[in-house]
Amino acid sequence: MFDKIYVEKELTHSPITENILKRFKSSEVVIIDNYEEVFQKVKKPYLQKRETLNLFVAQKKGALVKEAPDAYGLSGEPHYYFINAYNCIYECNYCYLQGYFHSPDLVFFINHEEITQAIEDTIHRHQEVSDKGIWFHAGEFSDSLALSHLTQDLESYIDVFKRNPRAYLEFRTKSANTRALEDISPLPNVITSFSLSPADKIKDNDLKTPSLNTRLAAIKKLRDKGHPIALHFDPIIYTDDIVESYEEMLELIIETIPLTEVEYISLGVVRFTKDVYKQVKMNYPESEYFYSELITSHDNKVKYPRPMRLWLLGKIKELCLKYGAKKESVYLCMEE
Amino acid sequence: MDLLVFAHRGEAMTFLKELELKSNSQYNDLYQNGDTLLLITKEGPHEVLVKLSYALGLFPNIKRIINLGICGSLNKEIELESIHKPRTIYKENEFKSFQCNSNENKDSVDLITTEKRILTEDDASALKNFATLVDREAHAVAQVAKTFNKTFEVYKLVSDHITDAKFCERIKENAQLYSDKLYDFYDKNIQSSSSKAEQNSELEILRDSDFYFSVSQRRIFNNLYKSLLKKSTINNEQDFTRVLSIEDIKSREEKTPKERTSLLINNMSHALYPFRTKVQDSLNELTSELRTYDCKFKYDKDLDKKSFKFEAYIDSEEKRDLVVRTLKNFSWQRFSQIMDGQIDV
Ligand code: SF4
Repeated sequence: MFDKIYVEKELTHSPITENILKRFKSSEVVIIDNYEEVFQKVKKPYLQKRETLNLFVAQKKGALVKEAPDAYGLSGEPHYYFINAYNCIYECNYCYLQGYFHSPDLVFFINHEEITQAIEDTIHRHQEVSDKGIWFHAGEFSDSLALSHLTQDLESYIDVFKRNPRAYLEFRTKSANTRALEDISPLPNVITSFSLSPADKIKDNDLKTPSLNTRLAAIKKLRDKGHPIALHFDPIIYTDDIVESYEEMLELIIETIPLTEVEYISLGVVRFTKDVYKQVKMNYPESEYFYSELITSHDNKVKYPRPMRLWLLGKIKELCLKYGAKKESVYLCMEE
Repeated sequence: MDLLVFAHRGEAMTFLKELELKSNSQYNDLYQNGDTLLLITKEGPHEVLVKLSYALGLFPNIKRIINLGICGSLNKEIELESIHKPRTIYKENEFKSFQCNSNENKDSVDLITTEKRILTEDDASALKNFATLVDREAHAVAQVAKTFNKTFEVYKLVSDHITDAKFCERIKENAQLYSDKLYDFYDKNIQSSSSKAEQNSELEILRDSDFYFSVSQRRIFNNLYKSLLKKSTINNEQDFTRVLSIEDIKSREEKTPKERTSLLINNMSHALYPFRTKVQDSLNELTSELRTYDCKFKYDKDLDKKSFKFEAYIDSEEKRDLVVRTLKNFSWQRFSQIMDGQIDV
């Protein structure tokens, strides 16, 4: 899987490093002082991840917790994300990571104690001035669960939220890798959210990710163990039969979990920054976006025209309600 | 026009002979025969930057730059004398990298261009993090090609494994052999592809006298046609004729060929952008009355802004009153609903 594994000198004896190296015996191991000596030092083309993917085992320095942009989650409460990894093994053709880092190589930040401390400090600071909830998201720069059996970090993050029931943690994923989570007792404030799209869209665009059915099976496993579940229908991509295809998907979802049980459903329409769009064009020139109704909007984002975006959000919300979602549980990711 | 770029005369000797290239009177390092040019830059990125830029200035018609030559390998498993088309080209101490233009037959090895010759294992170890092959020119060739907006390709023959101390002598001894091998490769794999002219499969309709395509209409038509082929169930010109109701358009005798072309282009964009068409239809319906009084109603062409421009030509008090009345009756609420996506799709 990994061509080379770069390990920061200080981490060579960490049990997490040892576990990783044990699993990837055939990868060449290179000891370095700091991952930044090599990672992003040169511009490594994104799709090179298909042939030569490297892994860096490193420590995250600087800001470990960051405020999330608006429209990130349910509104009214502050949202933060924490950084425990860069990059992803999947290849969604719309993924913004392809224009974000200068390398597709994976970085695992394994200084979990420092990261969890930063989360806890943020919670305490917030609770000194507010009695509202506070949200933390993993997976801003990676998929939260896809490699959790390697990073072995879920438990340490969940522990923080066991001590802080008024703070919420979201693991956002497209994977079906629930192994690590299944062994952990569920908490009402730790939510696993699955990004879902109709089966054919997953096939066309979420390259190398588990199918819709596999993701639904993962949802079922976690739900049966009592883990709270949320859903993201994002990115919504227009097709002539969009209503039918979302209905079909919702039928499958409610066979797995009634929408009344879903903590929240977020809806977002496909959109790109101009830079990411350029990257997508370079990496996936045959993808459907380039023959679609996307426009470059006055805010310099590439998206559908306003009436189309709003129609899509309205229509899919209507379908969610029809299939049993509570009105207050459906929120729209809008940057209007 | 192709430009072949070599660092050393030794690497180029078979090419000079086989392609019967003659020295160019304006530029001693440049050789030419018809549409093929060959440049000898001497070793190192600086030489390439200067000489290649100058050659491109002299011959702006050059379309493709092909860098051929020898390189070293940092990996002993790479066979000596094997020829590679590197995937990505890096440069020592430089962030920017380049990918070769074509995805065909690309190797999964990368190449790094260095400022000085890499002769020892110490020098080599830092480079191993980024690439397997090492040369002195490719990055500069790519950089100039990008600047001048030319396509470029790089082909390198592995002459040595970097730890071999005596490789300089061997390169000199083997120059003829390397040049023969590179030429052989070029002859079989590269030269032929340059003659594959872009096949512009002209469509019947573009020659049909019922239509007249101006230059810009032809461009728009070509783009829409390409997109329709990708997007929909249109696979060939027969499908196209059926889906776009070409026969109907042709039977519109009251229209001029140019107007029929506009209709065709309109139908094509409707087929390609069905949602936008519905929004536009709804807006046109809403504003039909306004437009009857010689007024112009313009909305954002991307349909992204909830606003419109209105222009009226008023030449009497009566017309003014008429326009004011009609504008007052115009339903902002309905306009707003359409722009908020409240339409039947
Ligand atoms: S799963 Fe998420 S992070 Fe991974 S490629 Fe897809 S969009 Fe990007």
